[in-house]
Amino acid sequence: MARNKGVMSRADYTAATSAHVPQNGPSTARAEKEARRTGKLDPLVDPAGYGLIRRSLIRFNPRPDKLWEVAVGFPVPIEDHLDTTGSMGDNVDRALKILPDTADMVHSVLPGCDPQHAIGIFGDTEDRFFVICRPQFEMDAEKIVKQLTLMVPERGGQGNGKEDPQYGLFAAAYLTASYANRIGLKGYDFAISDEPVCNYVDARQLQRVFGDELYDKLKENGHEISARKLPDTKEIVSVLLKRTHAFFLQVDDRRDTTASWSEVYGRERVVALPSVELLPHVKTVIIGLTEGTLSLTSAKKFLRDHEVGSGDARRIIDSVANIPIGAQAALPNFKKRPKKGDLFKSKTDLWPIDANELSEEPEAGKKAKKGSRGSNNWL
Amino acid sequence: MTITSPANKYEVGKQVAANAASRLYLCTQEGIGRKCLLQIASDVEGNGALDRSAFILGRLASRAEELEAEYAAHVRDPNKSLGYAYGFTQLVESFVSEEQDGRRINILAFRNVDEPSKMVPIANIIDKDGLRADLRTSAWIMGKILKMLAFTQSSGIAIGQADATSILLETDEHYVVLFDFSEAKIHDDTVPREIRAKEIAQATQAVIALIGGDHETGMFPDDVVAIEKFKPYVELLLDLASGDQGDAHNAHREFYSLVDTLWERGFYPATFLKR
Repeated sequence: MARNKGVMSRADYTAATSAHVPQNGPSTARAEKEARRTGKLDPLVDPAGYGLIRRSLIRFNPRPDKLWEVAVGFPVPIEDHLDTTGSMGDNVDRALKILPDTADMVHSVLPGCDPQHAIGIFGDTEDRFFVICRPQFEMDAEKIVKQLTLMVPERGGQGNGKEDPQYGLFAAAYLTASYANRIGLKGYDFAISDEPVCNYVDARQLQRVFGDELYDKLKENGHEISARKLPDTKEIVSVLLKRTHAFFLQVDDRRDTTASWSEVYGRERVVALPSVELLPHVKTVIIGLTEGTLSLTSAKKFLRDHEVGSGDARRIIDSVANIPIGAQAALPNFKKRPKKGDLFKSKTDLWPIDANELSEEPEAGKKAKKGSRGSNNWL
Repeated sequence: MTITSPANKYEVGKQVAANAASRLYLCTQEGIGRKCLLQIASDVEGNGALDRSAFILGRLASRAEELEAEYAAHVRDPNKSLGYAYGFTQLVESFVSEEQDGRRINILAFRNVDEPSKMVPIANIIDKDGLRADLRTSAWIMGKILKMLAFTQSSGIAIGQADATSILLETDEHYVVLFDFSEAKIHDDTVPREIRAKEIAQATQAVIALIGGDHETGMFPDDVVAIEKFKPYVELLLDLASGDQGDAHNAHREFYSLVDTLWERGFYPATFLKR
């Protein structure tokens, strides 16, 4: 099957799982064994790896005329924070299983865009080795599958009435650099859990998770944060909401969980996730509503067309009905998003060059248009 | 001016209202001549509110139909109905108009009321017409509002706006319509008590203002307070306006148990007095 650049194909996914996923046991078995041996995460998923800051950028193709052509479309970063404690311990395997559906469905509501996925996990600070794993933003099945198999879920949680996703949220808020943000648009952020969220971050745990470079990297990314005055989880999420459309997707319906996350996110951003298998559907509906590519009525039809049971569909629709619908479409530069084929002078430019700018480039033997305004066109 | 939807064309008439999120125009559906209201988002930012509003109107219509079917099976009298559907607008269609810069448009109609301009907001009767309702007129208005709030709240919908600008009256046939769902929210189990109480209070305050009273001072026109037997009615309104009552079903029941002692049931023409 010919590979369509930018759209994750099922063939790519199958090839990637054959290459990276063990035939028996959890998909993360090798990484878990290695982590126990070394006490370290693979740098690809280590939040302290690769300079801490995760980047979502436009993919370009170089051109002979030294310009850069947008290869796929406007990059949309989509970060997940999956709970891997207790009964959610096999969420990496589930995420792997639903990856093709996630890619297909999300792509269907982001026409002309380049969805870039970072599927991370979290546990509890009392877990022995790792609190979170944070991968890079990727688009291809090969890389996403590989990163998922490098995760090290500890499957603990300690039964202490909370988990610690706030370290992943901290990273998403302060240690992400995206093109979308540079032009005033936002990416997406989904935290998935069945437990309440802890309402603070601890300096020692930050050091443990992100290492010695943390405060320098925060500064490099535009955030002056001191270990003596750390933001609480609510403040972290308020920063996260400035750069992403962020939601908590709640598995099960524990009231203390709803209350805890509502306090941090606002009730309208706490959305029911009837099962992790429906994660692609719920994410797609949220993104589609936020982008304006779905309405509540068409979202209902989308769920029906994808064979979501009527009870689950109603629960999902009821809980997404109050999200800020059309929030991305309402942002000022939404209609000016770069698209596939647009040309940039430099990869770091903010905007593509204007089509008129191109046509005004002097060409050997090309006659100047008569009557054109502005500068003289010398022949 | 004509607006075209995927299915229909609408001839747009004069603007009748506006708020931060949307504008409202009279319109006529081409071909069948049906008179409707065209609600258009002020800008793309307002699309979400109109989408949610359209969805909620659909949800309420389905719920009203279900209840009507249950009632019909129970009562077995074709002349009797619950009539919830008359208490909110019918969504004719909802679409995004590319010719209007991608703004969402909802086409709305009133069931049983052919001429939308006959529907008047309570605020207009008070402020523009300078009129006040007599007590008996206020009773059928308040009764219908409580019935509708019991319906919306038990359907898990918080309507968000229940003030004098968002409750419309048709005074000839006695229709009362909760009109504005642009701030409505769906609740997955029940609407929280404080929100229910706030809606009841807000709507009652509108009715008190319609009578010519003031819910904050408890003052009413002289002819209202002069008659001793109406004092419990006035007190009940003030109680409902205070925000203490969080159950519209109970409020509706209590309201009619009092109203039935004051006036006979039966059609009473809407009666308005000069302020």
